[in-house]
Amino acid sequence: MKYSYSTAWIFQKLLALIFLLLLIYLTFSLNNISLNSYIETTNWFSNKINSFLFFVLFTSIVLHSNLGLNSIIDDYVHEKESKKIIIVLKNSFLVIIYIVTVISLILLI
Amino acid sequence: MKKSELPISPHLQIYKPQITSVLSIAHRITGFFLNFLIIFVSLWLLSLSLGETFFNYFIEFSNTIFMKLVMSISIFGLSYHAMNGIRHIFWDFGFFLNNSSALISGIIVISLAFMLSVLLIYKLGLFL
Repeated sequence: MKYSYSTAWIFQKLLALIFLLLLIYLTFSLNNISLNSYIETTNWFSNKINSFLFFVLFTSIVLHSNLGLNSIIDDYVHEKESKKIIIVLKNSFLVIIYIVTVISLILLI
Repeated sequence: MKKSELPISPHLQIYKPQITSVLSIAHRITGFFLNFLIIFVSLWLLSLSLGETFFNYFIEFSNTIFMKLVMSISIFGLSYHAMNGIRHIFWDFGFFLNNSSALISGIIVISLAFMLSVLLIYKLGLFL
């Protein structure tokens, strides 16, 4: 399937809106706990709604970041081989970060 | 240079700095560096899932002056990127597109980002 820049652009804006709203909600929600406290933080994540919203937030951030990095690579890297290598590195980085975060979230529920 | 290899946008080296271009470039730069904040959040969550000992190590590491400084800069980057992102959404709907509005909204974005950063740094107890 051909990469559509206009679809990517709309998708990026939608993701930004989703995670801005979630970021505001989670900032207020986390305001009531001490992030230095292991017990309070694990209790917060043991709540399924909090974990789910954090998962949606993190997913939207990673996808938004992916689209943003794609546009930076498109604008500044023009040599085909370098571009391929950078895209593979970028994808690997995001996939690893995402898997680590999702597994951590599952362990916390 | 082949046509396909010509730089397509934006030509950072030939742009005359002005608030609109500087803020646009800053939006990209902060967006790029916020990926390091994603790593930080991911490691924070990993340490939390591995148990109290790992979590305490992570908190101890986060409480060093260097990490507090890095986090404060990251918070400013996040605040700026978020505020300027909202400005972009307004632009997408056709608001504030003339030169004077772009200038004023740019100043508002910087001011709001600064205030939000101070608030978040205070809430997290980093320096204040």
